Amino acid sequence: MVKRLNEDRDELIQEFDLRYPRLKNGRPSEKVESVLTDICGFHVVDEPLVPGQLAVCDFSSRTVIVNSDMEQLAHHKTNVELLRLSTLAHELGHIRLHWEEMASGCSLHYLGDTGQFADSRSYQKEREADLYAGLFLVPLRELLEQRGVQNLLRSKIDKKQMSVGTLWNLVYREASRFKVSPTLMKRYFLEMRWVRQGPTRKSGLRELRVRF
Amino acid sequence: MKEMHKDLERAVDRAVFKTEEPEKIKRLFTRSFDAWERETATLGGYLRDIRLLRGLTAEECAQRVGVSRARWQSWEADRETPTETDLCSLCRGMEFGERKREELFNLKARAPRNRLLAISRLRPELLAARGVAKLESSLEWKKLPGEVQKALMAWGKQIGLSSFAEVMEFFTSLPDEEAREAWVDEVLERLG
Repeated sequence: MVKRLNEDRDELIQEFDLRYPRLKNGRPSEKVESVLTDICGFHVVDEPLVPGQLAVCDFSSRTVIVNSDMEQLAHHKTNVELLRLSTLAHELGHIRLHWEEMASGCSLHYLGDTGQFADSRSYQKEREADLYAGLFLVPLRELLEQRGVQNLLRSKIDKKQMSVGTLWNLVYREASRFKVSPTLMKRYFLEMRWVRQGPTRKSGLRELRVRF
Repeated sequence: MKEMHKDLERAVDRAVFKTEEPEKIKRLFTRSFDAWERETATLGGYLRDIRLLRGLTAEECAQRVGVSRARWQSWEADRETPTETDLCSLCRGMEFGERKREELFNLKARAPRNRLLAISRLRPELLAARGVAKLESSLEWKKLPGEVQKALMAWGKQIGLSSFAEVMEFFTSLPDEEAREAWVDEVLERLG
């Protein structure tokens, strides 16, 4: 799965670089919106949506509507621009992975994991889109070059647990390095099966543990 | 040599159209040309087409015209129609000549018609999940210019539809493009 997603991502980035050679050296997060509009042929518009809803991807009119009131939904410390870009990458995931399944429908992207899913496939589709978003914005080979991530993978192989704080620090550090939201980075780690999530701790943070 | 040339042509057809049958290729080509023509027949489609031809991103165009990226995207998606002042600064920023300027103003005059057609193509059942449909249609309604809303409500009253939700329900249930076009003509006639 990861290999297929990476190939798809590389194809899109290649097309973008051919179209806009002067923007070739930009970060993937700077390219995601133009990839959606100019490579995939979708419109991206910012309009008010239902509270809690980050975006709607309407396949019939080829439009991604991003909630323009995002800052009211998000935590006050959240970087709204990063959340918006992560949301766009998530919708790009739906477009690239679920086009045939959803060509006559729409996908709705909510904040957090609280949404009720109609069936297990809907839940799976959201997770696939999350993984796609992660791999699109954070190239795996670049992430694997980071010392913190190498330590995490070493611990995984050696079956040595890391502290919750260290893991959260790693999530935040890499999120800031790759200019994505910490939520997306955490989901990336989860989907890659590097970490697992436990109950919420007294500090308010969810417990993160190395997944063996 | 001739045979080699034909082989090459066939290979290109296979790669581009995924078929070698001339009839199928003609159909595919016509379909994509029709789609392109339909897409560029609106103000937003025209703007997008020019932007892509010039190799500019939406962000770059927005900067040139002096508006936010979100606003430029709304224009391209035909969710918002630029005012005449906007169009003037757009022509200046994008260095449009007289011909393009004229075309833009013509397309602007047709914008209410395109907007009505676009919302008549909305399929609220697709947004019905988790009770979004109601809110979505009210948002779509709010985006219509005031005079179009009034004309729609006046038209609705004639056939016994009293709320915007009922009017929206009516025109999103129109069966095909022909029926939608006829309905849009009827409403616009009321607008004068």
